[in-house]
Amino acid sequence: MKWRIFFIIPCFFIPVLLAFCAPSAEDDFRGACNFYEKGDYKAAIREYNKILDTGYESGELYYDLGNSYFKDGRLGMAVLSYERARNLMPRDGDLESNYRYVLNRLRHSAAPKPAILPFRIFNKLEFYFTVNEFAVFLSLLFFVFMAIVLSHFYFKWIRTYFVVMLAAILILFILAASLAVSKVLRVRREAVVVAKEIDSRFEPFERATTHFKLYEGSTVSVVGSKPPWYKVRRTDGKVGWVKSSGVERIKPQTKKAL
Amino acid sequence: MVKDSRIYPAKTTAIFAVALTVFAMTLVSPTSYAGEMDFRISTSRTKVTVGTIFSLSLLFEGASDIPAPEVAPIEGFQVEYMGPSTRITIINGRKTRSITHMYTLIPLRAGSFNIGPFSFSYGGDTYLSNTITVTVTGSPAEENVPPYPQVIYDENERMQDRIFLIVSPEKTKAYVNEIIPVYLKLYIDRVNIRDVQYPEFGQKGFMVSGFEKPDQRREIMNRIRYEVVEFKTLIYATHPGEFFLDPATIRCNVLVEKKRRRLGRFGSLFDDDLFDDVFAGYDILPFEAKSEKVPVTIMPIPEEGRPRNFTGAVGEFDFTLGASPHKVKVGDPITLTMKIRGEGNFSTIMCPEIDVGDKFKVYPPQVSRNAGEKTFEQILLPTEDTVKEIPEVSFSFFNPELQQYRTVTSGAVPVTVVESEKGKEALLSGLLPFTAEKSSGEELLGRDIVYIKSSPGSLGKKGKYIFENTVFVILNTFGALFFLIMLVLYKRKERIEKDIRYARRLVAPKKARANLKKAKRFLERNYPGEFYGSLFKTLQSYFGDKFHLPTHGITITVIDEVLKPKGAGAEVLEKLKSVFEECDLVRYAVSTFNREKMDESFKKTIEIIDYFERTRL
Repeated sequence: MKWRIFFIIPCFFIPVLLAFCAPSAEDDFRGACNFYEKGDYKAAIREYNKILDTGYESGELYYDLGNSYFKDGRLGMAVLSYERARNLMPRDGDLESNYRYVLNRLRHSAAPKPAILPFRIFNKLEFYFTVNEFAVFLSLLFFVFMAIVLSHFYFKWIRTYFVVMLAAILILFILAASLAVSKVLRVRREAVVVAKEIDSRFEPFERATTHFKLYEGSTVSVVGSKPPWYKVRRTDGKVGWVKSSGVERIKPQTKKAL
Repeated sequence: MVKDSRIYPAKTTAIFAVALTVFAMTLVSPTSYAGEMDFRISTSRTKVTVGTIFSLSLLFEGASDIPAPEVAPIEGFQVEYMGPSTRITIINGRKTRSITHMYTLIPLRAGSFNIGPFSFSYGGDTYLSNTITVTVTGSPAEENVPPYPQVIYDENERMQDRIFLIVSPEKTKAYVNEIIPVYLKLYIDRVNIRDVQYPEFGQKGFMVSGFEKPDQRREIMNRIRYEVVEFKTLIYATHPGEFFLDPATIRCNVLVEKKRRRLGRFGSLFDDDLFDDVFAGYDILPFEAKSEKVPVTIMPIPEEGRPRNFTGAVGEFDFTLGASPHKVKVGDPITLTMKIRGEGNFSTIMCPEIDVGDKFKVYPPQVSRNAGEKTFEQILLPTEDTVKEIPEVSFSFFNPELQQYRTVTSGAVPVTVVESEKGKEALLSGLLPFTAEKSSGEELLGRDIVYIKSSPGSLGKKGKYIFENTVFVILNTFGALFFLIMLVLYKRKERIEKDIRYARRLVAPKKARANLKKAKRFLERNYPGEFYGSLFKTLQSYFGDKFHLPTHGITITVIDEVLKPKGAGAEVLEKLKSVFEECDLVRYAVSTFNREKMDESFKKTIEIIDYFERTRL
């Protein structure tokens, strides 16, 4: 029995050894950047995607990938990558600049419906923070709430402001939770048109009448699906069916979520 | 003789009942009536063939109690009064009554006839109606057709001869994109039918619109009077050539009286009892009427004289151009409204082209369509303040009747554009939410994307949010648990401080354990006096704390006064009584208590306290 230990112990060290020997994500990233600098955008795209295939992501990674797609002339994929990056680093100025620049180069399908002021503020706030930031903020609020409730038993001065503080926390919590839920749902629904031009039809059939056209880089909301079709809502509220091969979802969906 | 041709399902009865209720309610509602009266006439058709029955309506608006006027004989028609129909309309609380007297007209000969004007006197005033011209064309059975012919029917004739479908396009020679009205007439002779379905009329090479609500009337053909159900649709061809309109099909059910089931060859097919229980007294037989093929010639739209901006509109149209607002800042939107009204094929009308150069950014048009009208709304953003007008816009179409192209021009629309730095910057930097066309080179001059990032940043699991992370969830759960524990502890402490009864009850078993330890020491040393003294003290202290009583007042009487009424068990009370008695007895005869007895008393005391701890009294 004792001889088995000679096989088991090295097994614990193999992952550590592999971690040291294998090139890190940093190295792969630098390699992709080198391709970009040399102007080999296709290779850069391949390398950036390789890192993503390992199951990890970051705003910077999507940003660089978006740049590579743009330089390679694939504007729809560039918009998709920038959209993904915007969900991870929404306040990045470079990203916003590039994203607007690419949008300006594209033909868009329709004007968005104008929103009233409260919704515009809500949308701005929702965009300004990431889902993770909302989650951490909500968690902090929760701990602050617990600390205030427990402290007010022992500190008289807290009791004076207890109701005001709890009300403020509750309002902040509801607002942050609404923003977080709205953002999660939006990211889950949104998709970008990656084909040059696709027809949105009244029914999910090839022979169905075309309702409206969607152009590369347009953002749509996926409101239903019937493989291989997506039911999408355009920014002006029009709804139609498009082939799923022509659009790419911002957050890839699991089968259940579909 | 046709008794009843029910073509609508029975559920219309319910709709009718609701409508009747609403109508009844409007009769009793306190609303005002319109005072003026209007007298108009209308006919269900203006082009008919000889023998085709159609209706004439005399509408009196503003009153509902006008009797049927006597209509003088109308030249070329036989007139029969059908009955009145009243209507009440309420718009914005203003009630309008009207009555329509209906007549049937049977054209007796071909020609063009004027119906009206009719004059009518009511309340001292004389009203004069409008005039309608009806064109009557001849038919193969035009001459000497009596309005109600007497025909001897052959009992053995086929069902197909009694119910048949005829498709008749209004024209058989038309241009590409030209609208052709097509009438599908279901002729019914001496047969009861029900559940008539809308026709199946799919055509290759033609676009077919939906069917309108069918029209029902009587028509005489080949000296036979038919009940006719007429469906109308509009078609247009998408490319030129010689075509055939494929046969149309209408499905319905035929009611056949059981006694008279023998209907020649057709009847023999359905002589089994398949439908016997469905409709008492009748058999319901499904029937499919199929039309013949109809040849149609489609001509191409002429190349000669075709305007540059012609996009395929065919018909006769009017075109108007409007813009709003007329005064804007640079970068602010102007809505350009282009309305096309008229008769023809609206499906092929595209948005007219606007030549605004680079002085405007142009957005894709929004299209809306109503009956006889198509509207294009296009957003324009002026890019400089030198803009003085929106240039004229032309719309070209082909008129198939005149066989020539026509171009209608509308505009230019004067606008005032004032300078706005904000709007200009937004336009040039592309910060507007969307743009219609690919940006011009000038707009993008000197701009490019910002360079790539040199670090991958903090890599996280793809598609995973932090709230899906186990550590995050555990941390928050522990936080919540800690909070709950702290809350419970504080509340307990607070109660102990404020509620003496609760505090004493809580401390009773603790004190009892300490006292019993003391008693055990005396037991081990074999000091009966001290031992029983300690036991007595233990019980006094325990019951005093447990039931919030003065400790020194606890004696054997506590059994009857406190414990029994609380429902304590008889056995345990007996034990308690014996322990109290032993504690009393030891003062007088200490020598009678040996180790064995002391052990037993100790054990009993533990059992008593244990019982009261376990039992909720």
